[in-house]
Amino acid sequence: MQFFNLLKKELRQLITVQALATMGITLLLFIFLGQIMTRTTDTLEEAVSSNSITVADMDKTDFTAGMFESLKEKEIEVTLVDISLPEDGNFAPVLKEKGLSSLTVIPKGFSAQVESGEKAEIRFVNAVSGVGLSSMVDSAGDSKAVSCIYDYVGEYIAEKEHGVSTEDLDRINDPLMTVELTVANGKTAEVSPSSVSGIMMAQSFAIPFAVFLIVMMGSSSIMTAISTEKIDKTLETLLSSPVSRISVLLAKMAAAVISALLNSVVMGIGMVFYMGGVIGNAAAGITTELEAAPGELGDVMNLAQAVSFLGLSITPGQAALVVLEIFIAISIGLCMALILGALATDAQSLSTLMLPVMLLIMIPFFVSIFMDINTLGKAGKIFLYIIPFTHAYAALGNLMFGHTLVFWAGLAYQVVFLGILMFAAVKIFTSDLLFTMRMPTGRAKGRKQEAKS
Amino acid sequence: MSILSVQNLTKSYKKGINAVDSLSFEVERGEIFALIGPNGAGKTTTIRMISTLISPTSGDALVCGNSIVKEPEKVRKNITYLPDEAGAYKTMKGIDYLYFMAGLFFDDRENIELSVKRAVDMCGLGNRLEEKIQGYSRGMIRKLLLSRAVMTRPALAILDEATSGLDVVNALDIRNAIKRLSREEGMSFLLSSHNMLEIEYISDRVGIIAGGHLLEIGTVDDIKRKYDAPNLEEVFRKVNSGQPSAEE
Repeated sequence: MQFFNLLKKELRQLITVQALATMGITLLLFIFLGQIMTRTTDTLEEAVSSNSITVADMDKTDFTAGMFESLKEKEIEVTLVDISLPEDGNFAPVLKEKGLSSLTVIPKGFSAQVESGEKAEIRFVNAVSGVGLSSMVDSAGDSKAVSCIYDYVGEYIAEKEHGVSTEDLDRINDPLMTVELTVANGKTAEVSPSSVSGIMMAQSFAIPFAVFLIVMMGSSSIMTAISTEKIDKTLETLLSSPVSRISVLLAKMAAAVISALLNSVVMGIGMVFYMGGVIGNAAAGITTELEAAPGELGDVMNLAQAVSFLGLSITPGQAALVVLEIFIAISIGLCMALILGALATDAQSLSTLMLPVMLLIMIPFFVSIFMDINTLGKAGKIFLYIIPFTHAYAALGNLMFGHTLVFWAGLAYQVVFLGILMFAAVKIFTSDLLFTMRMPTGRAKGRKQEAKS
Repeated sequence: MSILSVQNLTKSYKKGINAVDSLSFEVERGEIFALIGPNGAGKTTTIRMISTLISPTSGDALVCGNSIVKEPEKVRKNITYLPDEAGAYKTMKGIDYLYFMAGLFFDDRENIELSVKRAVDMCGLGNRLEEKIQGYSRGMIRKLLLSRAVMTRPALAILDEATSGLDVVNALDIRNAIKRLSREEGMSFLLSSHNMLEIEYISDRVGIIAGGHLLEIGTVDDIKRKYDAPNLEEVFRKVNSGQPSAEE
């Protein structure tokens, strides 16, 4: 009864209207960004598949006419425009006048240069209107058309000067058929390693990110809660009432976990929308391509099957272990925050005390995003594995790639680490330390406060 | 029987330096006892020990016969403590805060309701109790906390600077309420204050503390007579002259 009374109070302090509003805004922001990303990738796809080109043909010969015909045969829409070449070389007024964002200019004498064996010049003008991904979209369709122009000229030269047929030229340009094989966990599957790592990155990013968010939010919440209680002296009022200190401690930790989980669920939903916008189309493309190209080594596999075959997907047992590891990491974060929060004597010392916890959470997170921690040098590995949160970030990878010893050692280390922290937290909460200990740099101020008695 | 019996209470934060040194005094039922002393005298340390927030290095204190060392849970059922410059949970409404605190003392609805009604009547905040505490003035918070401190009818209410932050009228109301609760309901009070005039007006007995030692104890009139002083401030000056501050 008392515990629930305390838990309710802690939750009311942590999950305020402002906190819920922040969560709602964050969710909306993610959804909004996801939609922008979806629109951008859609536009990009549209541009790539549009196969259109705007050309200013200053040469106007049979050769260029034939070239445009060949583009049309390859289902590339060619729009011819008449322009006068700018004397100062600035194409901005030309693009503006014609309402274009890109233009391919075939200069006078182009055909003659090809005929004479010179390296013919072609100008590809593009307007950059911004720094975002969408600003590069417009040129994508034109690039494909320009590549076709290259092929046409190449084929013409090969046939005319060297008597090489178009088919032979294709064979010269693309002489090999590549079969990509991926080896992992002692097995081989006929899939592209980049496709596998792409999918795995999308999967393995989610877990460290969730851990990162939960620990960050939970830690800062509990640090603020405990230090505010201490600074406002509500802790003295609370602990002089007939409640056990352990139940106060547990209520605070439980509320922090609940609040952190709620935040993470909201963030998770937001991430699904956002990541859906970022990688949704790409992942779909990869799967389709692989299904269309069955391997010879085994049965026909799509990417998901290949990932599973290679032992790179997670089993329910492994998932349970990862969840356990995450739970211990969260508990470590909360215990650390609780102890450090109890050291705070004012808002300034609180923010100073938050910094080391945030660094411990952030350093292994960012390293784990960019590389596999097990590929680091010995010193780097030791440094990162001393940080208890690293084990949660690396848990999935360690289990997938059979580094079971590293996983279990990490889990044992975390359990011991948590045990020590919990012992310290209980010791602090059930002794004078809760009221007497303070941040070393705040000693002078603390003494002044104590002197009030 | 004494409600509070302090027996050679000692607290040492650093080895060899006692913040509170062998303090002994008693508070009877219905008595208002005040500890007065300069900054660093050991008042807050003494109060924190009696409130079971910190443990004594040696000695003991009995609240309603229960030891603060051996039976702190039983002690906490009989006391309430109001720290100096204390706040309340800002995100709670005043009324919710009262219900929350009453719920820590009682399991049954009837006692919780009775306690809250008592606090509502005493604090005089009216409809403002339905507002969140973050919008309260310092004086309003103090009134809320004081009513909280007495609503559960504790045997001993420990108040550190009871009326700090209150204007003259409100401070007078609180002093009168403390007197009434001690006379009519037999509630005992252990006060700590720098305000000598308030202590003189309200207390039955005072203890003058400096350097962790209890230098004088008695009724206000007796002490004034002993030191041939017109008021407690003058007594305090005479008693305290030459006393070093305790290192805490």
